[in-house]
Amino acid sequence: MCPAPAVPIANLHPERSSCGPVANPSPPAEQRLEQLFRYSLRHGQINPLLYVVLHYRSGERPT
Amino acid sequence: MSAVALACLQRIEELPALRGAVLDLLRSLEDPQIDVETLAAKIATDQAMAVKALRLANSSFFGLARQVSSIADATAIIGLRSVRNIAMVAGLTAALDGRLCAEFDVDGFWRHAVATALCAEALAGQRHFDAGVAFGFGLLHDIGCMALAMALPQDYGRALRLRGESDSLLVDAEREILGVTHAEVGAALAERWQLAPAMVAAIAKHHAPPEEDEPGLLDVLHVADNIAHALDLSRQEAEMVPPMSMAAWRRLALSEAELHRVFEQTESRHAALCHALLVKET
Repeated sequence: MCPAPAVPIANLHPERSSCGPVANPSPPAEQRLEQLFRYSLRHGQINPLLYVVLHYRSGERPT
Repeated sequence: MSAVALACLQRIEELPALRGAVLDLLRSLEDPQIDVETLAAKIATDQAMAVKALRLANSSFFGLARQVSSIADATAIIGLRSVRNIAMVAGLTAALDGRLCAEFDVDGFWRHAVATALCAEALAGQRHFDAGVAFGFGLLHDIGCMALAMALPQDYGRALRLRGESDSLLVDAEREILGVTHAEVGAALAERWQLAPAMVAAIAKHHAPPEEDEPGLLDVLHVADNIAHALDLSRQEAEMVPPMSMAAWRRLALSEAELHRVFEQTESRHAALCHALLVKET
């Protein structure tokens, strides 16, 4: 089994998420999330948690 | 079922039986008529369980003003449910933490189990399900991993190495090497221990909750498991978030604000509970 490369979070389309775009996630946090969600990113599956955790790690809180 | 899978389950059957007090605790998870005094007395007779329960009661997790020195006091102050859950971990650790394969990260295992339990508890609270039952489901959902690491250390070590080398899902590596997954093995073990059917189903279905019209605790456990992986609380370098059941996600219909509260509740309590359980935090 040879793992396929993951799609960078920046190349995804935030409008597919119900949570909207992400403002400014820190690069280390974004890289770690790309690593954690690599299965979904490789297989083109949008895990809705990705955007919610991205917002959370960016310090953005829902109004 | 393949011969390897059958042999695997046979080896699971040969695992040591749980001590009486641990079994009583596990079986009492969904018993609303639980005999508090009897169970507290049983915990007190099991040194490993009693020590951990007292450690938890006196930990920063509960932030009590005074020290608790007896199981009866601990039960009265922090509740039987908390004492019972912690005693369960102590009992299971004593039963299974024997000859685990070198590739198995037992501390990472418990850090993830605790994270899933706390998250399931918080999610259940958001949707008015029984938070205590959800906590127990989270704590035990991956127990099949620990059972495999003990019953088949060489084969499970191969599965864990394959997972690392191919960077694949754990269940895929388990199927490739063993022909069964930790979910199947965990459910078989839970049946052997005569745990509640709901617990058996939770362990069996935590990666694939059944299609239902209404949300339920299996949805809570599945999403909590995903969140625990996504919050990176196991501190394992090779951590990977497994696929999410979109049906379960939609059934729970959690808002982003609710999810942020669940994340905060889970993260804020994780370190203290891991510390109380003597699980390394990093």
